[in-house]
Amino acid sequence: MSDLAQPVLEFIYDLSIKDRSPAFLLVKEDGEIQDWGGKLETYGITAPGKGDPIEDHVQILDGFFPLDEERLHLACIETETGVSADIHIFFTGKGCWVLFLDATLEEARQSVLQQRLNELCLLRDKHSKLLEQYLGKDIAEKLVQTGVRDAEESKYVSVLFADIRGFTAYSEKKDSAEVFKLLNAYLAAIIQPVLDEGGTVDKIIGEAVMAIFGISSSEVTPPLQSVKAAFRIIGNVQSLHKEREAQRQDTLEIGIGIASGQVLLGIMGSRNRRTLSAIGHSVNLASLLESQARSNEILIDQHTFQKIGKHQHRFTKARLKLRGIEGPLQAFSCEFEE
Amino acid sequence: MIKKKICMLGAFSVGKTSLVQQFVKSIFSDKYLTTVGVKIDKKTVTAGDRDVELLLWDIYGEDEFQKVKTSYLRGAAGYFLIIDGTRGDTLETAFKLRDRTEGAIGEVPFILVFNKADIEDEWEIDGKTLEDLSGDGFTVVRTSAKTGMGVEEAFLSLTQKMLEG
Repeated sequence: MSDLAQPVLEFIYDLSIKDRSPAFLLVKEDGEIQDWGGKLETYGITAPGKGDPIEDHVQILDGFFPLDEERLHLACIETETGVSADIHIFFTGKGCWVLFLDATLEEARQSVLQQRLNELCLLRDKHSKLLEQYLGKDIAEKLVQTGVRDAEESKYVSVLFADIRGFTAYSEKKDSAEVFKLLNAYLAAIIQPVLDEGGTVDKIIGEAVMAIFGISSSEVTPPLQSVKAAFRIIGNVQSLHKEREAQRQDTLEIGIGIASGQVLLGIMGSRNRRTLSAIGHSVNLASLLESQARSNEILIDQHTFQKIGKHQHRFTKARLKLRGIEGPLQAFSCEFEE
Repeated sequence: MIKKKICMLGAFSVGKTSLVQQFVKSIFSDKYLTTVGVKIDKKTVTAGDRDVELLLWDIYGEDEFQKVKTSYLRGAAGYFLIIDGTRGDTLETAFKLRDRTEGAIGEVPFILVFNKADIEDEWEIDGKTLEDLSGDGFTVVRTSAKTGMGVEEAFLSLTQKMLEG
Protein backbone atom coordinates (compact mmCIF):
# COMPACT_ATOMS: atom_id res chain seq x y z
CA MET A 1 0.00 0.00 0.00
CA SER A 2 1.16 3.55 -0.61
CA ASP A 3 3.13 5.23 2.18
CA LEU A 4 1.57 8.55 1.26
CA ALA A 5 -0.16 10.33 4.10
CA GLN A 6 -3.96 10.40 4.10
CA PRO A 7 -4.15 14.18 3.36
CA VAL A 8 -1.94 13.66 0.32
CA LEU A 9 -4.09 10.81 -0.92
CA GLU A 10 -7.19 12.93 -0.38
CA PHE A 11 -5.59 15.80 -2.27
CA ILE A 12 -4.74 13.51 -5.20
CA TYR A 13 -8.29 12.19 -5.14
CA ASP A 14 -9.72 15.72 -5.22
CA LEU A 15 -7.30 16.71 -7.95
CA SER A 16 -7.73 13.88 -10.37
CA ILE A 17 -10.68 11.66 -9.52
CA LYS A 18 -13.40 13.58 -7.70
CA ASP A 19 -14.66 15.46 -10.75
CA ARG A 20 -14.67 12.34 -12.89
CA SER A 21 -17.80 10.83 -11.33
CA PRO A 22 -16.18 7.60 -10.11
CA ALA A 23 -18.46 4.58 -9.88
CA PHE A 24 -17.92 0.86 -9.56
CA LEU A 25 -19.45 -2.55 -9.83
CA LEU A 26 -17.98 -5.55 -8.04
CA VAL A 27 -18.69 -8.73 -9.95
CA LYS A 28 -17.86 -12.42 -9.80
CA GLU A 29 -15.59 -13.93 -12.44
CA ASP A 30 -18.56 -14.68 -14.69
CA GLY A 31 -19.86 -11.11 -14.40
CA GLU A 32 -22.53 -11.64 -11.71
CA ILE A 33 -22.99 -8.39 -9.78
CA GLN A 34 -22.06 -8.52 -6.08
CA ASP A 35 -21.82 -4.91 -5.02
CA TRP A 36 -21.84 -1.37 -6.43
CA GLY A 37 -21.24 2.25 -5.55
CA GLY A 38 -20.50 5.77 -6.74
CA LYS A 39 -22.27 7.77 -9.41
CA LEU A 40 -23.47 4.86 -11.52
CA GLU A 41 -26.39 6.89 -12.91
CA THR A 42 -23.85 9.05 -14.80
CA TYR A 43 -23.24 6.03 -17.00
CA GLY A 44 -26.88 5.00 -17.31
CA ILE A 45 -26.62 2.20 -14.73
CA THR A 46 -29.73 2.19 -12.59
CA ALA A 47 -30.97 -0.17 -9.91
CA PRO A 48 -28.44 -2.98 -10.18
CA GLY A 49 -29.34 -6.02 -8.13
CA LYS A 50 -27.15 -8.60 -6.44
CA GLY A 51 -26.84 -11.62 -8.71
CA ASP A 52 -27.78 -9.73 -11.91
CA PRO A 53 -25.56 -10.42 -14.92
CA ILE A 54 -23.47 -7.30 -15.63
CA GLU A 55 -24.58 -7.14 -19.28
CA ASP A 56 -28.19 -6.54 -18.10
CA HIS A 57 -27.01 -3.16 -16.81
CA VAL A 58 -23.94 -2.45 -18.91
CA GLN A 59 -24.71 -3.71 -22.38
CA ILE A 60 -21.35 -2.67 -23.78
CA LEU A 61 -19.67 -5.23 -21.53
CA ASP A 62 -21.65 -8.07 -23.07
CA GLY A 63 -19.21 -10.84 -23.92
CA PHE A 64 -16.37 -9.51 -21.73
CA PHE A 65 -16.76 -12.00 -18.87
CA PRO A 66 -15.13 -14.26 -17.82
CA LEU A 67 -12.06 -12.14 -18.35
CA ASP A 68 -8.74 -13.66 -19.50
CA GLU A 69 -6.56 -10.74 -18.47
CA GLU A 70 -5.62 -9.61 -14.97
CA ARG A 71 -6.74 -6.10 -15.85
CA LEU A 72 -8.29 -4.32 -18.78
CA HIS A 73 -8.64 -0.67 -19.73
CA LEU A 74 -11.23 0.55 -22.22
CA ALA A 75 -10.55 4.20 -22.93
CA CYS A 76 -13.16 6.79 -23.89
CA ILE A 77 -16.11 4.45 -24.40
CA GLU A 78 -19.46 6.05 -25.04
CA THR A 79 -21.93 4.83 -22.43
CA GLU A 80 -25.74 4.57 -22.55
CA THR A 81 -26.12 8.18 -21.44
CA GLY A 82 -23.72 9.44 -24.08
CA VAL A 83 -21.08 10.18 -21.43
CA SER A 84 -17.61 9.07 -22.43
CA ALA A 85 -16.07 6.80 -19.81
CA ASP A 86 -12.76 5.19 -19.04
CA ILE A 87 -13.56 1.68 -17.87
CA HIS A 88 -10.95 -0.13 -15.81
CA ILE A 89 -11.48 -3.78 -14.95
CA PHE A 90 -9.17 -5.41 -12.38
CA PHE A 91 -9.12 -8.29 -9.93
CA THR A 92 -8.52 -8.34 -6.17
CA GLY A 93 -9.17 -11.04 -3.62
CA LYS A 94 -12.76 -9.77 -3.31
CA GLY A 95 -13.56 -10.29 -6.97
CA CYS A 96 -13.50 -8.34 -10.18
CA TRP A 97 -13.90 -4.58 -10.00
CA VAL A 98 -15.34 -2.58 -12.85
CA LEU A 99 -14.45 1.07 -12.36
CA PHE A 100 -16.04 3.89 -14.35
CA LEU A 101 -14.46 7.33 -14.67
CA ASP A 102 -15.90 10.18 -16.70
CA ALA A 103 -13.55 10.77 -19.67
CA THR A 104 -15.44 13.63 -21.33
CA LEU A 105 -12.65 16.18 -20.80
CA GLU A 106 -9.92 13.78 -21.83
CA GLU A 107 -11.88 12.85 -24.95
CA ALA A 108 -12.33 16.51 -25.89
CA ARG A 109 -8.63 17.19 -25.38
CA GLN A 110 -7.57 14.15 -27.39
CA SER A 111 -10.10 14.91 -30.05
CA VAL A 112 -8.51 18.28 -30.86
CA LEU A 113 -5.04 16.78 -31.11
CA GLN A 114 -6.12 13.70 -33.04
CA GLN A 115 -8.18 15.75 -35.48
CA ARG A 116 -5.18 17.97 -36.27
CA LEU A 117 -2.87 15.01 -36.59
CA ASN A 118 -5.18 13.14 -38.93
CA GLU A 119 -5.85 16.19 -41.08
CA LEU A 120 -2.13 16.80 -41.29
CA CYS A 121 -1.49 13.18 -42.32
CA LEU A 122 -4.16 13.44 -45.03
CA LEU A 123 -2.64 16.68 -46.31
CA ARG A 124 0.84 15.20 -46.25
CA ASP A 125 -0.40 12.22 -48.31
CA LYS A 126 -2.09 14.54 -50.79
CA HIS A 127 1.05 16.61 -51.07
CA SER A 128 3.28 13.64 -51.67
CA LYS A 129 0.85 12.33 -54.30
CA LEU A 130 0.99 15.70 -56.00
CA LEU A 131 4.77 15.62 -56.05
CA GLU A 132 4.82 12.06 -57.32
CA GLN A 133 2.27 12.90 -59.97
CA TYR A 134 4.25 15.80 -61.35
CA LEU A 135 7.81 14.80 -60.59
CA GLY A 136 7.88 11.02 -60.40
CA LYS A 137 8.04 8.40 -63.08
CA ASP A 138 5.44 10.21 -65.20
CA ILE A 139 7.92 12.93 -66.09
CA ALA A 140 10.64 10.47 -66.93
CA GLU A 141 8.26 8.46 -69.14
CA LYS A 142 6.98 11.60 -70.81
CA LEU A 143 10.52 12.73 -71.50
CA VAL A 144 11.53 9.40 -72.95
CA GLN A 145 8.49 9.52 -75.26
CA THR A 146 9.32 13.03 -76.39
CA GLY A 147 12.90 12.23 -77.26
CA VAL A 148 14.92 13.39 -74.26
CA ARG A 149 17.19 10.52 -73.37
CA ASP A 150 19.46 9.81 -70.46
CA ALA A 151 22.25 11.65 -72.25
CA GLU A 152 21.79 15.39 -72.09
CA GLU A 153 20.63 17.26 -75.13
CA SER A 154 20.06 20.87 -76.00
CA LYS A 155 16.53 22.16 -76.47
CA TYR A 156 14.85 25.53 -76.90
CA VAL A 157 12.53 26.02 -73.95
CA SER A 158 10.91 28.65 -71.79
CA VAL A 159 11.51 28.40 -68.07
CA LEU A 160 8.97 29.78 -65.62
CA PHE A 161 9.52 30.36 -61.93
CA ALA A 162 6.56 31.26 -59.71
CA ASP A 163 7.14 32.05 -56.05
CA ILE A 164 4.66 32.60 -53.25
CA ARG A 165 5.71 35.82 -51.54
CA GLY A 166 5.95 35.99 -47.74
CA PHE A 167 5.30 32.30 -47.34
CA THR A 168 8.28 31.62 -45.08
CA ALA A 169 7.27 34.36 -42.64
CA TYR A 170 3.67 33.09 -42.76
CA SER A 171 4.69 29.49 -42.11
CA GLU A 172 6.62 30.51 -38.99
CA LYS A 173 3.52 32.09 -37.46
CA LYS A 174 0.92 29.46 -38.27
CA ASP A 175 0.41 25.84 -37.35
CA SER A 176 1.56 23.23 -39.83
CA ALA A 177 -1.93 22.04 -40.86
CA GLU A 178 -2.91 25.58 -41.90
CA VAL A 179 0.40 26.09 -43.68
CA PHE A 180 -0.02 22.92 -45.72
CA LYS A 181 -3.59 23.81 -46.61
CA LEU A 182 -2.59 27.24 -47.83
CA LEU A 183 0.44 25.91 -49.70
CA ASN A 184 -1.65 23.27 -51.43
CA ALA A 185 -4.25 25.82 -52.50
CA TYR A 186 -1.57 28.08 -54.05
CA LEU A 187 0.39 25.23 -55.63
CA ALA A 188 -2.78 23.94 -57.27
CA ALA A 189 -3.47 27.47 -58.60
CA ILE A 190 0.02 27.54 -60.14
CA ILE A 191 0.41 23.98 -61.38
CA GLN A 192 -2.87 23.51 -63.24
CA PRO A 193 -2.28 26.37 -65.76
CA VAL A 194 1.23 25.05 -66.40
CA LEU A 195 -0.13 21.63 -67.29
CA ASP A 196 -3.05 23.08 -69.26
CA GLU A 197 -0.65 25.06 -71.43
CA GLY A 198 1.49 22.01 -72.15
CA GLY A 199 4.26 22.73 -69.64
CA THR A 200 6.05 20.35 -67.31
CA VAL A 201 6.38 21.06 -63.62
CA ASP A 202 10.04 20.40 -63.06
CA LYS A 203 10.45 21.15 -59.40
CA ILE A 204 8.47 22.31 -56.41
CA ILE A 205 11.00 23.82 -54.03
CA GLY A 206 9.18 24.75 -50.86
CA GLU A 207 6.85 27.53 -51.96
CA ALA A 208 8.29 27.99 -55.48
CA VAL A 209 7.45 26.16 -58.69
CA MET A 210 9.80 25.73 -61.64
CA ALA A 211 8.12 24.80 -64.91
CA ILE A 212 9.51 24.17 -68.37
CA PHE A 213 7.68 24.71 -71.66
CA GLY A 214 8.88 23.16 -74.89
CA ILE A 215 9.64 19.62 -73.80
CA SER A 216 6.48 18.18 -75.32
CA SER A 217 5.93 19.06 -78.95
CA SER A 218 3.29 21.71 -79.53
CA GLU A 219 2.14 24.03 -82.28
CA VAL A 220 2.39 26.90 -79.80
CA THR A 221 5.89 28.25 -79.14
CA PRO A 222 7.33 27.76 -75.65
CA PRO A 223 7.42 31.53 -74.89
CA LEU A 224 3.74 31.89 -75.78
CA GLN A 225 2.82 28.78 -73.76
CA SER A 226 4.69 30.10 -70.73
CA VAL A 227 3.24 33.63 -70.88
CA LYS A 228 -0.30 32.31 -71.32
CA ALA A 229 0.26 30.02 -68.33
CA ALA A 230 1.57 33.00 -66.31
CA PHE A 231 -1.55 35.07 -67.08
CA ARG A 232 -3.74 32.18 -65.99
CA ILE A 233 -1.70 31.65 -62.81
CA ILE A 234 -2.20 35.29 -61.81
CA GLY A 235 -5.91 34.97 -62.65
CA ASN A 236 -6.19 31.81 -60.52
CA VAL A 237 -4.41 33.41 -57.58
CA GLN A 238 -6.68 36.47 -57.76
CA SER A 239 -9.76 34.22 -57.73
CA LEU A 240 -8.29 32.30 -54.81
CA HIS A 241 -7.82 35.61 -52.97
CA LYS A 242 -11.44 36.54 -53.44
CA GLU A 243 -12.57 33.16 -52.11
CA ARG A 244 -10.22 33.25 -49.14
CA GLU A 245 -10.95 36.88 -48.29
CA ALA A 246 -14.67 36.13 -48.29
CA GLN A 247 -13.94 33.41 -45.73
CA ARG A 248 -11.58 35.74 -43.83
CA GLN A 249 -8.64 33.47 -44.52
CA ASP A 250 -5.05 34.58 -45.06
CA THR A 251 -3.85 35.36 -48.56
CA LEU A 252 -0.40 35.61 -50.11
CA GLU A 253 0.95 37.15 -53.33
CA ILE A 254 3.00 35.61 -56.08
CA GLY A 255 5.70 36.83 -58.44
CA ILE A 256 6.67 35.20 -61.77
CA GLY A 257 9.84 35.23 -63.88
CA ILE A 258 10.18 33.75 -67.40
CA ALA A 259 13.21 33.36 -69.67
CA SER A 260 13.63 31.50 -72.96
CA GLY A 261 16.59 29.95 -74.73
CA GLN A 262 18.63 26.81 -75.28
CA VAL A 263 19.11 24.64 -72.20
CA LEU A 264 20.67 21.25 -71.60
CA LEU A 265 18.02 18.73 -70.68
CA GLY A 266 18.68 15.34 -69.23
CA ILE A 267 17.25 12.70 -66.99
CA MET A 268 18.99 12.18 -63.70
CA GLY A 269 18.50 9.96 -60.73
CA SER A 270 18.03 6.27 -60.09
CA ARG A 271 15.90 3.95 -62.17
CA ASN A 272 12.95 4.21 -59.82
CA ARG A 273 13.12 7.92 -59.33
CA ARG A 274 14.25 9.63 -62.48
CA THR A 275 13.77 13.36 -62.73
CA LEU A 276 14.41 16.00 -65.28
CA SER A 277 17.41 18.23 -65.03
CA ALA A 278 17.61 21.49 -66.98
CA ILE A 279 20.84 23.47 -67.04
CA GLY A 280 21.49 26.73 -68.78
CA HIS A 281 21.50 30.52 -68.68
CA SER A 282 17.72 30.71 -69.15
CA VAL A 283 17.13 28.69 -65.99
CA ASN A 284 19.24 31.08 -63.93
CA LEU A 285 17.77 34.12 -65.64
CA ALA A 286 14.17 33.03 -65.04
CA SER A 287 15.00 32.50 -61.38
CA LEU A 288 16.63 35.95 -61.12
CA LEU A 289 13.66 37.61 -62.84
CA GLU A 290 11.27 35.91 -60.47
CA SER A 291 13.31 37.14 -57.49
CA GLN A 292 12.97 40.72 -58.82
CA ALA A 293 9.26 40.47 -59.64
CA ARG A 294 6.96 42.35 -57.32
CA SER A 295 3.68 40.87 -56.08
CA ASN A 296 1.35 40.12 -58.98
CA GLU A 297 4.07 40.96 -61.52
CA ILE A 298 5.32 38.87 -64.44
CA LEU A 299 8.87 39.69 -65.56
CA ILE A 300 10.06 38.19 -68.86
CA ASP A 301 13.33 38.37 -70.75
CA GLN A 302 13.81 39.78 -74.27
CA HIS A 303 13.82 36.35 -75.99
CA THR A 304 10.44 35.54 -74.53
CA PHE A 305 9.04 39.01 -75.32
CA GLN A 306 10.00 38.73 -78.98
CA LYS A 307 7.89 35.61 -79.47
CA ILE A 308 4.63 36.36 -77.75
CA GLY A 309 3.00 38.27 -80.63
CA LYS A 310 -0.22 40.03 -79.68
CA HIS A 311 0.48 39.74 -75.97
CA GLN A 312 3.43 42.15 -76.23
CA HIS A 313 1.24 45.20 -75.64
CA ARG A 314 0.50 44.03 -72.11
CA PHE A 315 4.16 44.40 -71.16
CA THR A 316 6.21 47.52 -70.50
CA LYS A 317 9.99 47.85 -70.66
CA ALA A 318 11.91 47.43 -67.43
CA ARG A 319 15.66 47.79 -67.03
CA LEU A 320 16.96 45.64 -64.24
CA LYS A 321 20.28 45.26 -62.49
CA LEU A 322 20.56 41.59 -61.69
CA ARG A 323 23.06 39.89 -59.44
CA GLY A 324 25.68 38.00 -61.46
CA ILE A 325 24.74 39.68 -64.74
CA GLU A 326 26.92 42.46 -66.12
CA GLY A 327 25.22 45.76 -66.94
CA PRO A 328 21.51 46.49 -66.86
CA LEU A 329 19.26 43.86 -68.37
CA GLN A 330 16.38 44.65 -70.70
CA ALA A 331 13.31 42.92 -69.32
CA PHE A 332 9.56 43.38 -69.76
CA SER A 333 7.01 43.69 -67.02
CA CYS A 334 3.31 43.03 -66.77
CA GLU A 335 1.75 44.07 -63.48
CA PHE A 336 -1.73 43.19 -62.29
CA GLU A 337 -3.82 45.17 -59.89
CA GLU A 338 -4.63 43.42 -56.65
CA MET B 1 -33.84 -11.19 -29.25
CA ILE B 2 -30.47 -12.22 -30.63
CA LYS B 3 -27.76 -9.65 -29.96
CA LYS B 4 -24.56 -9.36 -31.94
CA LYS B 5 -21.59 -7.06 -31.48
CA ILE B 6 -19.99 -5.76 -34.66
CA CYS B 7 -16.70 -3.81 -34.72
CA MET B 8 -15.88 -1.22 -37.35
CA LEU B 9 -12.16 -1.41 -38.04
CA GLY B 10 -9.88 0.45 -40.40
CA ALA B 11 -7.37 3.24 -40.86
CA PHE B 12 -8.32 6.78 -39.86
CA SER B 13 -10.65 8.75 -42.13
CA VAL B 14 -11.88 5.76 -44.16
CA GLY B 15 -15.51 6.45 -43.21
CA LYS B 16 -16.26 4.08 -40.32
CA THR B 17 -18.36 6.61 -38.42
CA SER B 18 -20.05 7.80 -41.59
CA LEU B 19 -21.07 4.25 -42.50
CA VAL B 20 -22.62 3.70 -39.07
CA GLN B 21 -24.40 7.06 -39.22
CA GLN B 22 -25.73 6.27 -42.68
CA PHE B 23 -26.88 2.80 -41.62
CA VAL B 24 -28.45 3.80 -38.28
CA LYS B 25 -29.69 7.33 -38.94
CA SER B 26 -29.58 7.69 -42.74
CA ILE B 27 -27.47 10.82 -42.40
CA PHE B 28 -24.13 11.90 -43.85
CA SER B 29 -21.86 14.83 -43.16
CA ASP B 30 -19.00 15.91 -45.43
CA LYS B 31 -17.10 17.29 -42.45
CA TYR B 32 -14.44 14.91 -41.21
CA LEU B 33 -14.54 14.47 -37.44
CA THR B 34 -12.11 12.05 -35.93
CA THR B 35 -13.36 9.44 -33.46
CA VAL B 36 -11.63 9.17 -30.10
CA GLY B 37 -12.17 5.91 -28.25
CA VAL B 38 -15.38 4.12 -29.15
CA LYS B 39 -18.84 5.30 -30.16
CA ILE B 40 -21.60 2.78 -29.78
CA ASP B 41 -24.83 2.57 -31.74
CA LYS B 42 -27.60 0.02 -31.99
CA LYS B 43 -29.89 -1.07 -34.75
CA THR B 44 -32.28 -3.97 -35.08
CA VAL B 45 -32.38 -5.74 -38.42
CA THR B 46 -34.32 -8.68 -39.72
CA ALA B 47 -32.33 -11.47 -41.28
CA GLY B 48 -34.48 -14.25 -42.65
CA ASP B 49 -37.24 -14.46 -40.09
CA ARG B 50 -35.13 -13.43 -37.14
CA ASP B 51 -34.75 -10.04 -35.51
CA VAL B 52 -31.19 -9.29 -34.56
CA GLU B 53 -30.05 -6.36 -32.43
CA LEU B 54 -26.72 -5.14 -33.73
CA LEU B 55 -24.42 -3.40 -31.27
CA LEU B 56 -22.10 -1.37 -33.45
CA TRP B 57 -18.67 -0.51 -32.03
CA ASP B 58 -17.25 2.35 -34.04
CA ILE B 59 -13.63 2.19 -32.95
CA TYR B 60 -11.06 4.97 -33.49
CA GLY B 61 -9.05 4.68 -36.67
CA GLU B 62 -5.61 3.22 -36.73
CA ASP B 63 -2.72 5.48 -37.67
CA GLU B 64 1.05 5.27 -37.55
CA PHE B 65 1.14 6.45 -33.93
CA GLN B 66 -1.93 4.72 -32.55
CA LYS B 67 -2.76 1.03 -32.87
CA VAL B 68 -6.23 -0.29 -32.19
CA LYS B 69 -6.27 -2.10 -28.84
CA THR B 70 -7.60 -5.62 -29.22
CA SER B 71 -9.39 -5.44 -25.86
CA TYR B 72 -12.17 -3.53 -27.63
CA LEU B 73 -12.83 -6.56 -29.80
CA ARG B 74 -13.89 -8.88 -26.98
CA GLY B 75 -17.30 -10.37 -27.55
CA ALA B 76 -17.46 -9.34 -31.22
CA ALA B 77 -19.45 -11.73 -33.40
CA GLY B 78 -18.26 -10.08 -36.61
CA TYR B 79 -16.41 -7.08 -37.97
CA PHE B 80 -15.97 -4.84 -40.94
CA LEU B 81 -12.61 -3.92 -42.37
CA ILE B 82 -13.16 -0.52 -43.93
CA ILE B 83 -10.94 0.66 -46.76
CA ASP B 84 -10.87 4.08 -48.41
CA GLY B 85 -10.69 3.34 -52.13
CA THR B 86 -8.88 6.63 -52.73
CA ARG B 87 -6.03 5.65 -50.36
CA GLY B 88 -4.27 2.44 -51.33
CA ASP B 89 -2.42 2.10 -48.03
CA THR B 90 -5.70 1.70 -46.13
CA LEU B 91 -6.03 -1.80 -47.63
CA GLU B 92 -2.73 -2.74 -46.05
CA THR B 93 -3.92 -1.36 -42.69
CA ALA B 94 -7.12 -3.40 -43.04
CA PHE B 95 -5.18 -6.64 -43.44
CA LYS B 96 -2.93 -5.83 -40.48
CA LEU B 97 -6.07 -5.30 -38.41
CA ARG B 98 -7.51 -8.58 -39.69
CA ASP B 99 -4.39 -10.42 -38.49
CA ARG B 100 -4.48 -8.78 -35.06
CA THR B 101 -8.22 -9.40 -34.71
CA GLU B 102 -7.86 -13.08 -35.53
CA GLY B 103 -5.00 -13.28 -33.04
CA ALA B 104 -7.21 -11.77 -30.34
CA ILE B 105 -10.66 -13.28 -30.86
CA GLY B 106 -10.11 -16.03 -33.43
CA GLU B 107 -11.89 -16.42 -36.73
CA VAL B 108 -15.21 -14.64 -36.80
CA PRO B 109 -17.04 -13.42 -39.93
CA PHE B 110 -15.82 -10.21 -41.52
CA ILE B 111 -16.38 -8.23 -44.69
CA LEU B 112 -14.02 -6.01 -46.68
CA VAL B 113 -15.81 -2.73 -47.26
CA PHE B 114 -14.39 -0.45 -49.95
CA ASN B 115 -15.89 2.90 -49.10
CA LYS B 116 -16.15 6.21 -51.01
CA ALA B 117 -17.62 4.58 -54.11
CA ASP B 118 -19.23 7.93 -55.00
CA ILE B 119 -15.75 9.15 -56.05
CA GLU B 120 -14.58 5.93 -57.67
CA ASP B 121 -12.79 7.89 -60.41
CA GLU B 122 -10.36 9.06 -57.71
CA TRP B 123 -9.64 5.56 -56.42
CA GLU B 124 -6.11 4.26 -56.15
CA ILE B 125 -7.42 0.74 -55.74
CA ASP B 126 -8.49 -0.71 -59.07
CA GLY B 127 -11.32 -3.05 -59.93
CA LYS B 128 -8.93 -5.92 -60.53
CA THR B 129 -7.72 -5.81 -56.92
CA LEU B 130 -11.33 -6.15 -55.76
CA GLU B 131 -11.93 -9.00 -58.19
CA ASP B 132 -8.76 -10.76 -57.03
CA LEU B 133 -9.83 -10.42 -53.40
CA SER B 134 -13.26 -11.86 -54.23
CA GLY B 135 -11.51 -14.64 -56.12
CA ASP B 136 -9.44 -15.36 -53.02
CA GLY B 137 -12.65 -15.95 -51.08
CA PHE B 138 -13.05 -12.61 -49.32
CA THR B 139 -16.45 -11.00 -49.14
CA VAL B 140 -16.00 -7.61 -50.79
CA VAL B 141 -18.56 -4.80 -50.78
CA ARG B 142 -18.39 -1.36 -52.41
CA THR B 143 -20.10 1.32 -50.37
CA SER B 144 -20.69 5.01 -50.28
CA ALA B 145 -21.53 6.39 -46.87
CA LYS B 146 -22.41 9.59 -48.73
CA THR B 147 -25.07 8.19 -51.06
CA GLY B 148 -25.92 5.13 -48.99
CA MET B 149 -24.92 2.79 -51.80
CA GLY B 150 -24.16 -0.72 -50.55
CA VAL B 151 -24.40 0.23 -46.86
CA GLU B 152 -27.55 -1.67 -45.88
CA GLU B 153 -26.40 -4.59 -48.00
CA ALA B 154 -23.06 -4.73 -46.17
CA PHE B 155 -24.66 -4.84 -42.71
CA LEU B 156 -27.27 -7.39 -43.73
CA SER B 157 -24.64 -9.54 -45.38
CA LEU B 158 -22.49 -9.57 -42.23
CA THR B 159 -25.54 -10.27 -40.06
CA GLN B 160 -26.36 -13.27 -42.22
CA LYS B 161 -22.78 -14.51 -41.98
CA MET B 162 -22.81 -14.15 -38.19
CA LEU B 163 -26.05 -16.13 -37.91
CA GLU B 164 -24.66 -18.84 -40.16
CA GLY B 165 -21.31 -18.83 -38.34
